[in-house]
Amino acid sequence: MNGAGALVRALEAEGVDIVFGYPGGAILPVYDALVDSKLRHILVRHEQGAAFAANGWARATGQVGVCMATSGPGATNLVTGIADACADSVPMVIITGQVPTSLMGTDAFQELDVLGMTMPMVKHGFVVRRATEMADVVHEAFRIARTGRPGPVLIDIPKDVANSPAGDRMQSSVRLASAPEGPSPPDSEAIARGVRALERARRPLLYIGGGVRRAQAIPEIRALVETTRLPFVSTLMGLGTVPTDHPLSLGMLGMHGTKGANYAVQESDLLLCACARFDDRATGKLADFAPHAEVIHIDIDAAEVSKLRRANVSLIGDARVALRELARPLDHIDPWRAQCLEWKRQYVLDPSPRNEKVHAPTLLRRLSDRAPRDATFACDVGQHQMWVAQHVRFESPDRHLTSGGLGAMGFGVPAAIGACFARPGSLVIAVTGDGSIMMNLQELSTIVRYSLPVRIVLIDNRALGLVRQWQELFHEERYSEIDLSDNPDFVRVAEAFGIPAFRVDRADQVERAVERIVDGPAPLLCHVVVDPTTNVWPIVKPGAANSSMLDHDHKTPRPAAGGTR
Amino acid sequence: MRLAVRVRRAEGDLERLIGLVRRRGWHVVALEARTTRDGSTMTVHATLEGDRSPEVLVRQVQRLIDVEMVHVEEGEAQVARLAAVREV
Repeated sequence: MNGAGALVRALEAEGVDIVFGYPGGAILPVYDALVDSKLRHILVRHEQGAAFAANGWARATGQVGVCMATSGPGATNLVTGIADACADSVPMVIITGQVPTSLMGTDAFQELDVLGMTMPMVKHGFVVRRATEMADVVHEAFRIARTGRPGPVLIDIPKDVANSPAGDRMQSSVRLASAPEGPSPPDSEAIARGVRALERARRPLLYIGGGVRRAQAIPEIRALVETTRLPFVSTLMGLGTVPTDHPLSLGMLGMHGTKGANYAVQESDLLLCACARFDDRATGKLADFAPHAEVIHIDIDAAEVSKLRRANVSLIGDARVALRELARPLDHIDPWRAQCLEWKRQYVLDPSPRNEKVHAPTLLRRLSDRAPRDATFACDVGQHQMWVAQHVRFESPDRHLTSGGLGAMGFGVPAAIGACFARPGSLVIAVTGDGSIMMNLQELSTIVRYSLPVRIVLIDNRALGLVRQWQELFHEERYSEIDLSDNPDFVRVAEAFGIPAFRVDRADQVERAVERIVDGPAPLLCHVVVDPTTNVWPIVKPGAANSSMLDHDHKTPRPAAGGTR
Repeated sequence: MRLAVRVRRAEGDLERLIGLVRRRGWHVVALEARTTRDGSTMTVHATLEGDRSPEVLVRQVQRLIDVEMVHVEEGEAQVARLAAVREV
């Protein structure tokens, strides 16, 4: 067996059954080995599509997603999808072909230093220098990708190594298949201090991040909410960790968060941060974020604790243990809880349409009501992404596939492709925009090739909506390069790829469209023409305090008198 | 701040370390790296300038897969002071 064969065997031993990729010169030995393998290879139409599809598959399953591409341009095209996985702690193994060892460092055809190029965006990277090491490297890569804080791991394979004899490692590779290591529990003395801090607090608030699901601590955090009756806010990545329609949910915090969530954070005297990282889109101006609060920070990654906001209590390690130990009844916070729920009631997000045009938030809300509760929404990036976060109900965070940390346009359609392979038979809706879909439009071919029942909802405002909104609000309406009014006819584009499509451009067509999206045959593209002047509300000006959020009248609303201090 | 790091030798090890230090807002003023006699590890001493928390940098360096040990040789007082702030 050669190195390529050993790679394929090791992937099989890791339980991999699907790989997203695109072949090329330097990775030909691997593609040759695939012919004799039971691995299912999904051929995309651009390497970025492979990285995002594997990324979406990994988000949906919680397992390590695998993609592969050739050296040079193949690898550069993967980069955005790798960076996205790194930003959102998605476990992935990325395999790249490399020019033969003797040509590395000579500016050979399609040669690039992929190990060096990906350093800022991987958890770790390997160049396999000997075919006999292949199996061990693969198993180590999987172990690293899935343990602790998950993330992407690169394996770069020179062509001569892939072609060299690897010895017979079949038996040992099965034996070596990496077993996940369990995290250690947080320091018990720190847990005790956390319990005391919660008991002492008058206005405690739970701040839920995307790491809770990665820690497999969803049952623990739900139990904590029921026991403590703590009101909670979620980051974009945390939505659905506790169902978004839970009575104690105040919604998403931050730049496009609900007023209830942001007011509660600002007024809190204790933030119980569960696996979030105080990202700037969540905190707004950091110095003014939760100015009265002590912080208990739970995270598997010690480097996240006290990185941006100093934690008064650091609970580093297994979030399940921390959440179990902190789950004690908090009967003394009734007035605060009532105040939070009053804010929630008072500042409910208003999805009501303004005129006869299609109002995207209304459509998304109807779609959420009509879709089965286990439907998956894969989003692109922009206004539509924020409307999904604000208006779609999520009962699980892995039903919401969204590019959080990196904010990568082009994510939605290939991520939905990954989700279709992860959840065959389940409803997958890709919500995209007219800017975003054009960034990976070629993957419509992948949808057709594999007959994937993706429902694409394309919200078209003929502009880069979120950029346009910022220019309107923060750059004195000096619009610069946001006009996309020369978009193609998306219905005809979809049909040319072989995907049935229809257009919705009036509010009275929404009900029928939602019905067709949910119940009709798929794949399907629904082209939704919306008013280009519609903005996402509320919004916090970048760099400003969350308390200064603007509403549709461009005014900063004031919180109702607290009275709970 | 002077940082001492012991790294398990692997392709890209030094670059990973120095790249991280730069990306996290620090400036390398002096650098000494030596591979141990058996070739399995490398010891790096780096003098760094920066206005961010040394404690956070140490944790970020610790996170690198190759890094076996890291400690602050000079400026420990600052790290200890930061660690003690507002712990309840």
